[in-house]
Amino acid sequence: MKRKVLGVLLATVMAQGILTGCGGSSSTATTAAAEEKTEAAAAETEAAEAETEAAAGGTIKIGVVAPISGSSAMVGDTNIKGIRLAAKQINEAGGVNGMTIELIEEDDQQDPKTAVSAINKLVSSDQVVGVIGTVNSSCTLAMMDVTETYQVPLITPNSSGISITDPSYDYIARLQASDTMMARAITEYALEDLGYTRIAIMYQNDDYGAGGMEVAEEVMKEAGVEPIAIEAFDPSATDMSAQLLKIKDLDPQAIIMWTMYSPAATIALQVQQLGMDVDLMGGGGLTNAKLYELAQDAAVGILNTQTFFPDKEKASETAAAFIEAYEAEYGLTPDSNAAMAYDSMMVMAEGLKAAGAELDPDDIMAGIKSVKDMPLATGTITMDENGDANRDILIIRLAEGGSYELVK
Amino acid sequence: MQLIQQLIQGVSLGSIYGLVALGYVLIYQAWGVLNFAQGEVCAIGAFSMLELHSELGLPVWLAMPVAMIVSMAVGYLIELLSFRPLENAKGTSRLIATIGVSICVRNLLRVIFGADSFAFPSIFGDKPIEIGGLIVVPQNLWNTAFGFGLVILLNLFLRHTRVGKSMRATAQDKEAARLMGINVRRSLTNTFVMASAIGAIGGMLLAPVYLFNSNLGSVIGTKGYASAVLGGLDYASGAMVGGIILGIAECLAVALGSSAYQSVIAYIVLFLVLILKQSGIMSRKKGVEKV
Repeated sequence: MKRKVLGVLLATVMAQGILTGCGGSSSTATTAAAEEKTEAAAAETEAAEAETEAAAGGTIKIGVVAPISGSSAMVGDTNIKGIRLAAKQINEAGGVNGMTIELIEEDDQQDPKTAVSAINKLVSSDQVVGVIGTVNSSCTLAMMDVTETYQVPLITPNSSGISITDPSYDYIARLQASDTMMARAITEYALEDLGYTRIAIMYQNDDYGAGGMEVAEEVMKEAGVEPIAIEAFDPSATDMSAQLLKIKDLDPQAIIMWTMYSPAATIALQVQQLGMDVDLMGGGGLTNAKLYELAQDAAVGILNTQTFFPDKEKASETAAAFIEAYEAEYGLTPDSNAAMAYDSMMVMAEGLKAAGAELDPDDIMAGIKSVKDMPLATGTITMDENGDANRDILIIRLAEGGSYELVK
Repeated sequence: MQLIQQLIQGVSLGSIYGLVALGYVLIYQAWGVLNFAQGEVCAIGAFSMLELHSELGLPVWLAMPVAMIVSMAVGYLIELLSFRPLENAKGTSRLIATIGVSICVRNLLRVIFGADSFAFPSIFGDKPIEIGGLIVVPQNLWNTAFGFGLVILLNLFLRHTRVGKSMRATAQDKEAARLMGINVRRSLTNTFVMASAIGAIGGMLLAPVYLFNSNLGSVIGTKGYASAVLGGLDYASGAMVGGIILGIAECLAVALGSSAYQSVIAYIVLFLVLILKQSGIMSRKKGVEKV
């Protein structure tokens, strides 16, 4: 009997080993492929750099860290495209203080450990002057330990984690809008642009949801409006009809929901089911093709915040110029990640300009943080003393068929 | 009016909890152990139906029974690999084995399907019907009907068929059943496979109403466990009653109290039952023997 038990256990363990084994090997294969790609890309940039170098005096090395492989690879790819476009434009316009920008790109594989070795390589062996990266907040935070120690200015295009721009870090700046800014923007849109007074708030019961809920409540109270209801739900909850029925009874005009796209799809579906006539709105976490895929028609009309929208007619002058240049360069429509990465490089260049020929890291950071009312691809940017970008926030609407349209 | 509507929602939510709880009770009666992988069997039901219908293009009426057979096969495997070898082991070891199975299945589902949510097209219609100011969704109505129908069918099966009777005899006293010439081994397996089928039906009824992901098993498993303990682990129909009480309690907690505590309700129920009446509200026993 005992031997039998052991046999079965061993079989199970082996079966698991086979499964994980498969997973492991397939992921290494993709990493290898991605690495090859990166190498090819690096060779390309090197060639381009060599050309420009001949014309100008010196070069400024800027490191780029992005997830070129892994599940955020799409974001990493558009990030690098945006940064390359910005560097190219800067160099074509005569570079920074007569020097051209040279990009050195590294893959973080969306893994904090890999991100740390990437940043170590950039800082120690390539001796870069500044770094732009990366997408995942956990990777950016891990890299910040290195950049703080070696005093290398770091700008993150995408990471939105609140702790990133903590005042105790001196060498970090970010282009992404913080959750605080996004919650304020959507609440003000409901109050001022739509003129609503009967607004309910729903939030997922964790740090992210509660953070957004508190900002929305505060903005409403500043305007003298009391939220008609504030309802929580578990991030893994499958049913929200109890919360919605309670809100329905209070005759709401809008529900501000601070959550990710998947619970938002549940809310949208159940709002439709319960026959509620109410506007649904929320933050940047809702922008995802999955929202429409899951909730179909029920999701149409959901409003949410964004930093960038590729609509040339409604976009600002600088945004339209960026869209045009990006389309000409890559034959693709840029997304918000490409735009924020582009702006990161532009803001980095401002810091470099301010630092003159010595390129002292403190002067670069001072230059970055003194950026004021600068018109860029994602709107007019002013950097604050913690390194956060104060910016205009756009409101977009999920339209029929799953596409997005710019509302404001 | 809101309260009545909340009650309707609570009952339709609770009937799914009840089906999950039913699986717990059946296995507990026969094996004397709580099967914490019961929630995962529901998830397998939901995901197999999704795969068969959305990926392989099988019509729903065919996908449902096939998914049920898949879940029964998985249930059989679980019984073969983790229950049968431990039949004579201590209660704690057997309990921990079921937790291990649940973690294993949940993560396998995550590897296969990822962490994202899925939607299953409605089977019985999701267009709400309004009756005197109250909203009734056909799918929810069917779910409740299915839940109660299954409990009645199960009772008939256990009372009036040969297989059912031998399952009951095994649950009551294995030794006596064996002496009466009942194949106890087969009876135990039958019970496990049947509990898996019922769990899978719970998952399949849930799929068209709610979005679900690979974590479904742990969410629904906890609710099912709380319902089973509430209704009484020695009484099959009690599971349904426990489920519906829990469903209603969750909805009323939001309506009358604060939604911040909605997900705590299942645990509060568990605590209260274990402190006040360990054998569950529907049980005729005074106490419950130690597992």
